[in-house]
Parts: sequence; C-alpha cells; structure tokens
Amino acid sequence: MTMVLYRRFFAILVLSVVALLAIGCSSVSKDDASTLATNGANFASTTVAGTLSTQAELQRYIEGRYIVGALTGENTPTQNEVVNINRIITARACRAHLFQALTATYQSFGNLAAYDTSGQVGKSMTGLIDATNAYAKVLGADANPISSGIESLVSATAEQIADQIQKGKVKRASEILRSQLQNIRNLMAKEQDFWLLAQDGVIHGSGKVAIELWKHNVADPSSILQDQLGQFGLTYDTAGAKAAVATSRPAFEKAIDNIIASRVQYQVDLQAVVFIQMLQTLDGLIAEHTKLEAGKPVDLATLTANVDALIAFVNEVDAAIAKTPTTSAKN
Amino acid sequence: MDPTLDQIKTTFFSLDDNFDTLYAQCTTDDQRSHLRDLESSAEDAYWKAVADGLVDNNTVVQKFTVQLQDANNQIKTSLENLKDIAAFLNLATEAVKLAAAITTLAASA
Repeated sequence: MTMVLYRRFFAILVLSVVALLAIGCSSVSKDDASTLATNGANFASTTVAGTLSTQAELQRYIEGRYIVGALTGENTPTQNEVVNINRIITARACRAHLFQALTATYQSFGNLAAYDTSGQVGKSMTGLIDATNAYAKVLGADANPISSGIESLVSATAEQIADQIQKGKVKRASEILRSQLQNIRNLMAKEQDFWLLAQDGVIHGSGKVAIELWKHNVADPSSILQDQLGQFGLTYDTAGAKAAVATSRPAFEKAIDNIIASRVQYQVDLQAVVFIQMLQTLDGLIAEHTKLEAGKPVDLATLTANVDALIAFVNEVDAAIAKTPTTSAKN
Repeated sequence: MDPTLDQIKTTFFSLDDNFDTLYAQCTTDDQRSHLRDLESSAEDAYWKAVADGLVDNNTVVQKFTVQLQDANNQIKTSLENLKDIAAFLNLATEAVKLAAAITTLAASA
C-alpha cells in the first residue's frame, strides 16, 4: 500500500516538474495581467461599437442618395455603387466580429489571470485567430496566423505548483495575444486610407442630404441657431427666427451651407483622430504585453489614458453626428 | 492619404458639391443628362476605389493619377468662374474617364 502511494506521489511530482518546465517559470504579475485584460476588453468593445455604427452610416448613405436624387435631379445610386458599398458593409461586419473576438479573448485572459480558466482562453484565442484571418482575407492581406502554443494553455495542470503554472499560462497567453494584436495592428494600418475615405464619403453625403433638405424646405435650422444661445441668458424666439430666416433666406442659405460644411470637415478630421488613437492604443497594448511577459511592471496609467482617450473621441464622434441638423418638418 | 485615392475623391466631390450650380448652367436636356451621368460615374469610381482597396503600385495608374490631378486642378479653376458649361462638361468627362480607368487598372494590378 505504502509503495503504491510512493509511486503515485513520485508520478505526480514528475508530471508537475515536466509541466512546470514546459510552461516555464514566470514572474508575471497576475494583477497587472487582470488590469491589462480590462483595458484590452474596453478598447476592443469600444472599437466594436464604433465599427457597427459605421455600417449603419453606410446604409444611410445609400438612402440619402435616393433622397438627394429626388430633390436635385441627380441620378440615384447605380447597381455597381450599391454592390461596392455593400462590400464595404460586409468588410465592416467582419471587422466588428474580429473586435468582438478580441473582447472575448481579453475577458478570458482576465479570467485566466484570476481563476486559471485555461480552456476558456484557448477557445477564445482560436476564435480570435479565425476572425483575424477572415478579416485579413477581406482586406486581401495575410495575417501570419499563430496557432501553436494554444494547446499548452489548455493541457498543463499540476495542483502543487498551480500558481507558477498559472503565471506561465498567463505569460504564454499574453505572447499569443500580443502576436495577434500585431497582426490586427498591421491590418488596420493597411485599411487606414480606405476606412477614412469611406468615412469621408459617408459624412460628405450626410452633409449634402442635410443641405438639400434645408434648401428644399424640408429641414428646420432651429437647432443650429439655438446652438449659438445659452450662456448669455438669451432664449430662442421660434416665430422671430422663422421670420428672420424668411426675410434673409439667401444669406441664411449661405450661412447654413458654410456651417454644415464646417461640421462635415470637423467630423472627417475627428474620424482620422479616432483611427490614429486606435492604432496608438493597440501599440500601447502590445508594449504593455511585452513588459508583462518580461516580468516588468506594466504602465497601466498610460494604457488606461489611451483607452479613455479613445472612448472620449468615439463619444465625440457620436455627439458630432447627433449635431447634424434634424429634419423635422416645418410648421 | 494615398494620392490616387485623393484625386478620385476630388473628382467626385467637385461634381457632387457643385451639382446644383452646374445643373442650373446647363441649357439643354443632353447637357443635364450628361452632367447626371458624370456625377454618377465619379461616385461609382469613388466607391469602387474604397471597396477594392486599390493601391497605386502600377506605373500606368501613377501616370493617370498625375493626369487626373491636372484635370482636377482645371475643374477647380473652371468652377471659380464658370462661363462655358459645354467646355466644363468636356473637362469633367476627361477627369471621370481617368478616375474610372484608374479604378479598373488598379483593381486588376
């Protein structure tokens, strides 16, 4: 009986040492990994929301062109144009899926650091790699898929040295995640010009619809005029404003045209800022993963600031879009 | 931004932004129809360029880009003092043809 116990103990000891050697000793901070995971998930989920909203904007662009056609005599969108815009919408759906997969991966990475949920992180990593490759295909690029190593995240177990093994898994998961972040970063850099060009077209189109609706008496400029009030105690006089606009219609048309053109440019510039911020945040995540893996302290303040800045810019885009003149019917 | 994409955008936006003014200058139905088709074709080229993710790594595309830039500059000058709509439509036709050619060539590059 004693001999059997000794053999079992020896077998467990050997397995544990083998597992430890396989995964490697690690000085990775699980707390830093958890916070890194939170920031990574925030970044990814913000990017999902931003990507999904651009899909809706592209759809609205097509609809807007039909309205402009009816108002101005311009041709309505050609079949080719609709096909090409739908291709862009599909690519955006693929991008949103990629960042959903990144969100899930960061959540499971956080769980790995907190509870050693190896199976979950292995599954989400596989999902992330598949999503990256699918997005690379849409962009006509290679993403250098990384799949080796995921198995070791799932298989290694040894209760006696669980903490060290867990740290090793966190380190290995971080390495795989970082390599995928680099792939995503490369894909985003490749799509930057086309992304911004599409946004430019969409915002430009949205401005044109607004101007044409205003010129054809379908839109009311009240909200633009009211934007100028507020801090000096003046209140908006609806009847007075209508009379003033009617009396000086040509001058107001020019003014509203210029204001909308200015708002269009602001939104276009903001899109470029958001894109650059996304790349910077990705760079920050990659850098902090590298530090984490080397056992160095992670600069979470800078990383959090980057993610917060991105969220603030995305919110500003939403606010700017909300500022687009409303199309309430004239009384 | 990539110079080819920038020029394709300039052609489309020039025609789109000034459509009302140009349309008012047209004196015949043929001119109005021509203008509508030019604006549509410029828009088609724009979205094809975005959807294809075209790259100007082709020497022919680069050569056409220079020609398109020249045509866009002439369009801009012409719009500042629009006098002859027929001449403008000829100029715009040249620009739109170049934009369409670039998107086709670049897509197959």
